[in-house]
Amino acid sequence: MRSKLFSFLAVVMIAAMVLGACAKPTVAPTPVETEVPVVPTDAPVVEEPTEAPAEVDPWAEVVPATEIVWWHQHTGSAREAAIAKIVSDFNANNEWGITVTAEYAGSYGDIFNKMLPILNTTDVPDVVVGYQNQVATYQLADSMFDMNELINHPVYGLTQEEQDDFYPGFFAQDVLSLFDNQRLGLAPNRSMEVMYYNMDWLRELGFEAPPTTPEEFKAMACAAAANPFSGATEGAASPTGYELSIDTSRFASWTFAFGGDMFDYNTNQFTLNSDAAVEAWTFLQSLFADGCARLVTENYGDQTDFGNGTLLFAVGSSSGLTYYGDAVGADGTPFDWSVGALPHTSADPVMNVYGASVSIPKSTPERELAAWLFVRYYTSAAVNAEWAKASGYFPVKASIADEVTAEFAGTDEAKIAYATAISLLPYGVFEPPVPGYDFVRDNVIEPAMTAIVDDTTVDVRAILDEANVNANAILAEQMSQIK
Amino acid sequence: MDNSSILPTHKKGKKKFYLDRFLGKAFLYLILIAGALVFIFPFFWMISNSLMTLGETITRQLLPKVPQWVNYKEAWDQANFSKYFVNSVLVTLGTLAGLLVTSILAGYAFGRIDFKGKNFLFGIFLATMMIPESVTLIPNYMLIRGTIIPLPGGTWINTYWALTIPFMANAFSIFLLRQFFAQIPKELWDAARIDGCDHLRFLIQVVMPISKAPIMTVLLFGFTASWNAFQWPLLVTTRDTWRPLMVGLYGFVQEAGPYTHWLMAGAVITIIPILLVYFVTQKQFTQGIATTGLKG
Repeated sequence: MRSKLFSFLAVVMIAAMVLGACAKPTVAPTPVETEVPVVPTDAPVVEEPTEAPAEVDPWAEVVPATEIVWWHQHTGSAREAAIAKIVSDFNANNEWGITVTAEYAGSYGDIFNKMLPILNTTDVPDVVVGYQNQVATYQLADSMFDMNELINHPVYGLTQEEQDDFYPGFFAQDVLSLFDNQRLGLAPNRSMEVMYYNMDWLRELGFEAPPTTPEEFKAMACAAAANPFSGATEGAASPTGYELSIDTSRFASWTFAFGGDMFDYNTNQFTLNSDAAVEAWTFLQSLFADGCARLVTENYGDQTDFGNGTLLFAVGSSSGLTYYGDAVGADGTPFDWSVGALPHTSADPVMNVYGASVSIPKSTPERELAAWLFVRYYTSAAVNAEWAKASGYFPVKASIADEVTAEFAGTDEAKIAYATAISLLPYGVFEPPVPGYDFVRDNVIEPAMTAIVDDTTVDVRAILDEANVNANAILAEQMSQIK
Repeated sequence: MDNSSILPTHKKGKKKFYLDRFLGKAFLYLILIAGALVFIFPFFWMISNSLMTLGETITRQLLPKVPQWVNYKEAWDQANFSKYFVNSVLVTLGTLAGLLVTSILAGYAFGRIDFKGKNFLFGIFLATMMIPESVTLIPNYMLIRGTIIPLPGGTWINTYWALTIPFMANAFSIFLLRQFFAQIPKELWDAARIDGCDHLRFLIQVVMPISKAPIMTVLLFGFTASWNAFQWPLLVTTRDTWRPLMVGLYGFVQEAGPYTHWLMAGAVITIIPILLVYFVTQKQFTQGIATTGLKG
């Protein structure tokens, strides 16, 4: 899916669409001022509400379309039932007579593949699920609707209170600095990278609390590697402190935890070789050099080893809470476990949050308005609470956090872990929402991670310098395709 | 001749002969058993995991503590199998019908009829087997959407036609049948001509009855491919109207990991038809492989 070949195809197709796209009626964007950053990093600027110009309201005469289609990737009976209910409630109660048809269109990758050939055609769905970098790739063909046009609209927009209710990091994530801070999506749910830890093993090792600093983390991990857990499953893997999976989200999480970022939103350039990144990866390299960490060798192998009591720390998505909860004690000897922030060098934790948003492909003003009205409904607090409870994702609105936490479905430990994780949401930052990020992840960052931990004598800075050059080259190549 | 010195040696040789034969057979059986275990283990693993809890699958247990037979019901309900099963059957039957018609006719033409450019055309057919499916995926998708040439009904996305027509012709099946048809003695054709047969009648009344084995082979390959099809149906269906079983199975794979216990229970359910078809066609299939030059 993410092969070079596909990369080439994607670029060629987008270029073809750019050249061949027919002119379509679009609404002139409402000029808005950009002022206040509301995220804890130098992330893209979020639009402040402004009054629509009194004399020209491009949406005044627009009547929402009555039939729209939403492509999503959600499966499983609980999620499908929740989606069916949300859609059915909207269809029955919305005042404009809009009927939404929700269609499962495959995984994120499948949806991406389906979207590329139909961008800027009438075949696009009205609402589509996508990661920010995927949507950014669509936008190279100028094919996505800028929600800034409607988010502050006096009739159809969100009130200031509703906007403020979003966790700042989540709300800012879909504002793309590379595209003049256009808002290309709105978050309905999020996940976060957290550190899973085995509390019983920590106590056996003489520690009373999980680590909060890298130094503590290393001391505990190295102690675990030398002292097996008494509750470990017989015949399972040898003990270790930490297992690193070669996944760019781990790169981001550790870099964030050391106070860095992967992208400079002022210069719109990757910063994979920042001092913080070098420090973080030198630290991880030292864990491998000292025999306190090893690589995950199979998909979700860290869940396996954690559940078997042979892994003290794992870092992964909070959406894995149910899996960790079920894995612990599968052999009949459960242990005390939970999640927390990654050990960090900053005063507050910095957490890597991610998740797909809902976006609106450009079509007609009628379809775009109908799509927006559904997106507004889907991300409203009450519906968001309903969706978070059914899906196990984090809600995006702070006002419903307690309600959702109270009803989280899972083991007792998983409930506690969920509550802990949700308390970390205000510290969320995100990975770069830029076109070509998938290629950077697969072809640049992950090979660099492997090189750093495979040979613990290599110069981390040299590897990250090279990775940064390559990442920016890919970004430049992608941006050269912009319409 | 004094045999006294020969007999013991003869007995010894005979003993050694039987010992060698025994050891040879034992070694052979050892290799065969090892091979069988290698092939059987994935099936064992699939069935074992289909009876586990999620936690047991994550922690890689070999056997379930308590068999979770309920997984089969859960898998059936969760993945909407009752609907997808029917879809898979209809799509597979339609595809096979088209595949047999095109493969038999084209295989016969390439194997038995002389026409200008035959070898060149056949070479092109064979060349299409070398193109990876992933390369043709998006162009085929655009065809089915009606982007490249107008289609009846505008677009075939979410239709039965999108799932069947692209697979109703297959270079490998044509090649396989062509190899067999080319071996049929010319005398049969001459005799049929004397009796007034044209090509179509000869094909139906003479060639097909003696070609059951390769035709069954094509049928089995086609059935397996159509039944197991995943990527294409996923691409061309956005509604569950025509979604097949394999796409339903995919629903058990989530971002944070797979629900392996349900996935494996679903997999057991989906392979049952393939096993049945294989057992029914096993004899012809083996014969077909042996008589079409495919056996290595």
